[in-house]
Amino acid sequence: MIERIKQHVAAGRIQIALLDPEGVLVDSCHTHINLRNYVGKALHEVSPIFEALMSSILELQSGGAAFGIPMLTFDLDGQQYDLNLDFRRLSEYPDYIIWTLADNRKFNYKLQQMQQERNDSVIRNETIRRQQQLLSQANERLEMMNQGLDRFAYIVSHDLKSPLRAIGNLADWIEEGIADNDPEEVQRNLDLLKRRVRRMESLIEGILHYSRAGRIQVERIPVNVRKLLEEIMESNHQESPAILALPEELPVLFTSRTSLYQVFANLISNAIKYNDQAVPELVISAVRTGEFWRFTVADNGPGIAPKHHETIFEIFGTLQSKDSYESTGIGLTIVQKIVEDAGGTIELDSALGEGARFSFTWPAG
Amino acid sequence: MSTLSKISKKVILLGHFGVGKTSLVRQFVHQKFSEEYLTTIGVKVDKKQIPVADRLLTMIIWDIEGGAVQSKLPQSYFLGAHGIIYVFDLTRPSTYGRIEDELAYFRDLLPKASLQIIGNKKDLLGAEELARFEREFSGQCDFLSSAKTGENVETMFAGLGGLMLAE
Repeated sequence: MIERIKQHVAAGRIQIALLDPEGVLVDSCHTHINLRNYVGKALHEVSPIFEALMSSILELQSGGAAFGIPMLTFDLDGQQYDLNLDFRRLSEYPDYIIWTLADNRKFNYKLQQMQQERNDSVIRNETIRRQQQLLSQANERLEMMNQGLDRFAYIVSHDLKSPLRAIGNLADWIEEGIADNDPEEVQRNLDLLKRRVRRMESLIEGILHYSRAGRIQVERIPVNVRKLLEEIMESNHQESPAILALPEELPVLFTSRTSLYQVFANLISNAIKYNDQAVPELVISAVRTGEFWRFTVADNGPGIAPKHHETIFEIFGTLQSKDSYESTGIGLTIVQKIVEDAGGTIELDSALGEGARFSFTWPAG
Repeated sequence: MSTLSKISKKVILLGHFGVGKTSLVRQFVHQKFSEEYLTTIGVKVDKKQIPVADRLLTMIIWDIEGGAVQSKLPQSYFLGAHGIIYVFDLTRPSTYGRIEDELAYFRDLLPKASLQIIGNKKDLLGAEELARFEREFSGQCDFLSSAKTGENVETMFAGLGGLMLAE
């Protein structure tokens, strides 16, 4: 061992330094680092990077295992070094700890080249895989959007045609009324025509609202759900008094306030608007399920027959006759879209005469 | 004027290659970032002083080369470490697929060391990917960071400083 060390030292490949059992630098040659100014100082005073090694160095004297720090790059006195360090105690020199410092730059350079190529290749392949995955997800989304768009175009054109046809008929009847000199009939048909125009206007408003629902950039902020619900109830209360029961625990979510407000506002307003009781009663519950909160809005209204549970979420899928409520039947479609865009789901549990319970899940944020 | 008492702690950065360990150190110590990826060989030591509570903490940061198999690293790199920053790349699932096993290995080696788990390269994630990650991995990492923009870099190192001094 000693002979091998001597050969390396003679060849200028390694630097030898001697430490006393307390880890104080006693002597050194200066092949790689000039340690002259550090003789008499403990190793951790040479550089703080050795501080963490001190206890292992001190243990060498009491039989601790020799150890090395391979390929260490560090700065000392403003210069950078790439060295292999080794600390050991030799039986031939029991009073010293032998610290060797071997220059590693040539070997490091070759190794660096090899590993760089290997790592670049792995990262490149993983990046390509990720991009392919993102592309395929984007394609799937696009496909779904196209399907949705086709369906949307069909339903919209179908439902918009109905008031348009009525407007056409009413125009004909008004024309006939004028020819017959029947001002009362003309006035009645004009009123009907105005109502159909208003209805068509609100349908178009609803369509615009729906199309914007998925495109608006949402800013996430802390949302106190209790305060949000109280605010919605207050705005509904002005139109129709209702009783609202809230659970003791309601979360503060880091989410889009606008989106969550729209969901609750639509569900609460429907529960009040379509309620046949003198005083509508609403019960809201909230349960944490994993990464989501599950909110339920229950009412004491007339309930919805199971056969309508799916169609109620379709665009213009209102169950009431179009003239009995100022409704476009688009609110629940928007609610479903917002909930699904947020990553949640919505479902209805109801039967005729038993009220309705709309439950939706929303990311816990 | 009161002077802060000085203390130094060794921090090791661990994680697969190419996750941005060196870039995080470079951003933290020198406030610089480069798009060029240079594989670290062995371990590179850097240091930075930060005030933590009423102390001046010198972090001796050992930026250890990444490997797909972390247990093959020389154990001498971990000697005397007080803190671990485990970094993974948010865009490469292979860098966090076996995170539990890898963390168990390091916890076993350094049971007293404070630990921060970092999902890096946040700047490369779209809003939807980020939301999905937060849903699936929420609570499993301490910070989502970006060495490029500097987001959460100081916070994460300072957080580890606080944890180490609290030990």
